[in-house]
Amino acid sequence: MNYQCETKGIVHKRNLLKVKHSIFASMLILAYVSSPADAAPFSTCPSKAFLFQGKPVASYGVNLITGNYELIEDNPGINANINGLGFDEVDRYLYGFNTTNLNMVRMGADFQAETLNLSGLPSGTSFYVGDVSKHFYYIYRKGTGLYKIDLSPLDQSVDAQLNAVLISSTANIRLTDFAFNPNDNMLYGVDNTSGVLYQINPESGATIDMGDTGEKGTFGAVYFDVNGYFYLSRNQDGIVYRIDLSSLTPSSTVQQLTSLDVSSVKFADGPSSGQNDGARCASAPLIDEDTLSNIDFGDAPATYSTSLADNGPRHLLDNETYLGRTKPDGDYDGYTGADSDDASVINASSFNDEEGVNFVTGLEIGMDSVISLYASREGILNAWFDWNRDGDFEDQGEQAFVDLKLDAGANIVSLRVPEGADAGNSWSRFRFSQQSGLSFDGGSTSGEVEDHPIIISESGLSYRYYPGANSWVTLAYEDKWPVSGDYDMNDVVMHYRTVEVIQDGKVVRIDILGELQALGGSYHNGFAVQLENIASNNVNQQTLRLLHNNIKQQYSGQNGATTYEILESGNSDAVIMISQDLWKHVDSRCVYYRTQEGCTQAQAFDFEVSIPLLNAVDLADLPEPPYNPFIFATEGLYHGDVFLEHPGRGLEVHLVDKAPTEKFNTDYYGLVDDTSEPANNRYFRTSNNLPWALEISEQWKWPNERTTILQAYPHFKTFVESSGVEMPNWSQLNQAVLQHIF
Amino acid sequence: MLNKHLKLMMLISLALVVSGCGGSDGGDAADNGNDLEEDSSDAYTIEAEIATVAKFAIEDLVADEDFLFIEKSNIQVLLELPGEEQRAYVSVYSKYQLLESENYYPDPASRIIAGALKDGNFEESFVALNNQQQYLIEVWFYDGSEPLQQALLVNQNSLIW
Repeated sequence: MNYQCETKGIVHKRNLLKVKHSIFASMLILAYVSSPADAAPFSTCPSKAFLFQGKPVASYGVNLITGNYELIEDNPGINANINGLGFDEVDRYLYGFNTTNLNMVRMGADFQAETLNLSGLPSGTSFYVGDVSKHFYYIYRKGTGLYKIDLSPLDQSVDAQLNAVLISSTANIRLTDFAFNPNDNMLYGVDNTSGVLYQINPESGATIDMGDTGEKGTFGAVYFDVNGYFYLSRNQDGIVYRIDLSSLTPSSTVQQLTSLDVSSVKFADGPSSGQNDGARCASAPLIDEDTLSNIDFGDAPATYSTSLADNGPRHLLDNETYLGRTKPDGDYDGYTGADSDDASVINASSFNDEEGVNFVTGLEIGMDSVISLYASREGILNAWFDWNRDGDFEDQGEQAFVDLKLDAGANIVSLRVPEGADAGNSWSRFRFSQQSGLSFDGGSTSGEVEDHPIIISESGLSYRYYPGANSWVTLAYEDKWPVSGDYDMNDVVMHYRTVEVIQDGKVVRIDILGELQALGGSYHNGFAVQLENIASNNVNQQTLRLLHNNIKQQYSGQNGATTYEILESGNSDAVIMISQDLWKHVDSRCVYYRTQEGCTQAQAFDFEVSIPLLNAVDLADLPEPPYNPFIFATEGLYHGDVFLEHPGRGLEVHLVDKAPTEKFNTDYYGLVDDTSEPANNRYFRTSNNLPWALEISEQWKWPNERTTILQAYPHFKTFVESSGVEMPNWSQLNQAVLQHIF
Repeated sequence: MLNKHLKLMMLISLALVVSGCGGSDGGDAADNGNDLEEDSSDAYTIEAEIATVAKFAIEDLVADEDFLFIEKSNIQVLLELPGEEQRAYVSVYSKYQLLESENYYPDPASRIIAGALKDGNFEESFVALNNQQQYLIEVWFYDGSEPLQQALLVNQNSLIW
């Protein structure tokens, strides 16, 4: 029900308040005199924070991640302000103090106030600070004290008598709200005048000064989330700050508390107000993963502040403001490591929406460069480039565009790559919004963030990408060779692409990138790539660089004191070892990694290897991508009953008709189902000419565990029997039997 | 001799391994029973034709002895802009769309080649997948002007501007 009133709380607002009509004035009177029914509690522990403002109190739902807010109810059923609210996770009611009539109230899911019977508080005293924990309501007033009220009598009747018990009359801190940390069940609040964060023991009232948060002001609404992050909403400007208290536990010592970094970080722009109070179900995560997300996150590596835990950039989807031709999808967190915003398995609804930014010229040091941007509508762009490749966007000059206005449609912008930029692979971040002044991190109430890998280069270089600059082929292996396996082609599944860097018609460097998708077998396998016709001694070992999850590696693996080289010695053609044991990079929550139904989890391992060549190689002499990628048995581990001893490095599985390396044990040729004939360049085929490994020209969805490729992709049969003439699209998702693919 | 010995040994264990769980089984395949058979009896909800194909056993599938299971070809790109002396940059894309403005909109992720135009010429080659026949070539200048664009058909393994 709406009524006419003036809500003084909101100072600068988007058009969110419900329109109020004078016609409802008479209804308002009725509402105030009527006795509210016994309201139902909340059905869930909501992820939204609640904000309460004004008289009569209006209830808002606040998305702490982006700062967005919306009015839920502006008629609480009483003409009063309610403050000091807290959410009771036991009975799922909100409890607060009626600062107009000086009594205690509760609100259920309908946000209608019910007045409760309370005694034990000093008369004529109002309370603005409160929260609930374990079915007790705690209220505080500077100079008056900290009180505790047992709520359990309300389990019998809303009319039950409640009693306030004084915990401590020592109350010197100037608070306007406090909140319980769900991890240690202690109260926390910031002194408005000093900006100091205090822990308050709810059983004794004892306080601990935890240090300066760096911000002052009236923090009228404070909240916790399930991870122990503390959020403060400042009345004056609506800024939401966050303090990381996630490391605190019930056993944290005073020294740990006082030595913790409690500086506040700007998190989002929320609603400002003359009078605020906040309450939240602290056990709820900030994003409810049971509902479709309407927030876009980035996908640069973790060091760029990408995840929510790192205050990564995120935008509320308004369905109007985005880059590219495709509306972005919602994400539950920033994607770091191997998962990406392009196609996430953990978020099944995710698709490639990172297509609004195109580097249409090279990013050449000291030169101008052109970027093509497509904007859904007019809006404001901010963008950052990690020019010195140190893994952040914080250095001077790394914000390349500041509040640049884009028009709807195609926009062409230029920038100059700084003279001091470091040549090599790096990252950029583009944020497009209706808001100005965005940083490379923090929340935004509209728009999209797109993180893009970039190549900073010396001038005069060309690039060949296989299959595309940000596309993948899929390599799928059966690891039971020489036994033909169950043919689910998921024992090792790897996304894979190559980049050839060309100068004056010769290749000077090769980059290979991959993302481990699945491990559908229990054998331990390594992964490596042979570069045929490129001599091992032509690889520049000084600048050869292998990254695992964006972290530089000294070795391709380690087993106790034994270390394994990246450029494997003893080979005439270069063999680049990516990993000695792929299982070491994942922590599967099921028997296998991402191949069983119900075992969806985020990708956990990606790699990038950059292979500079001492002498540039003629394109004509270069092997064709994907070169010769293969899996091999991890040293010292069981790899099937075929072998009397653990085969280790001598066992390799390659794409069909790709020769093994010099480290392959040639005694294994012809074992069991293998019909390799090296003299005829026939390798890794069964007697039916079937392979143990496939290269598939796209990001492929592999079969579920124990499901043959024919069950998952019936048209594979036609494709094979026609030698590829018919059903060349057999591997596409629209050709799959969905129940049989992961 | 070694091979024969191993093969004999494997004949005994093959049945277990082939029906084993998830490719490699780490020697604990015994609990897998007849999972493959159980799976193949799953009721498909797709059309009968696909169901028929799906019942076909992988053991009965025979490929040509030269079939590589992926279609690839080498495409040559030749671009000439006679008299063009401006600094310019060439890209080739495999995915793109035509906008209402009649300009092409490439998918940046699908860029295959990127390099500078030299004296009005650009020549490069790339490996094409799935016998794709049409590609977009763009030439961008550094003065902020609109790019030159052409969607070209592969002709005798070449894309000629």
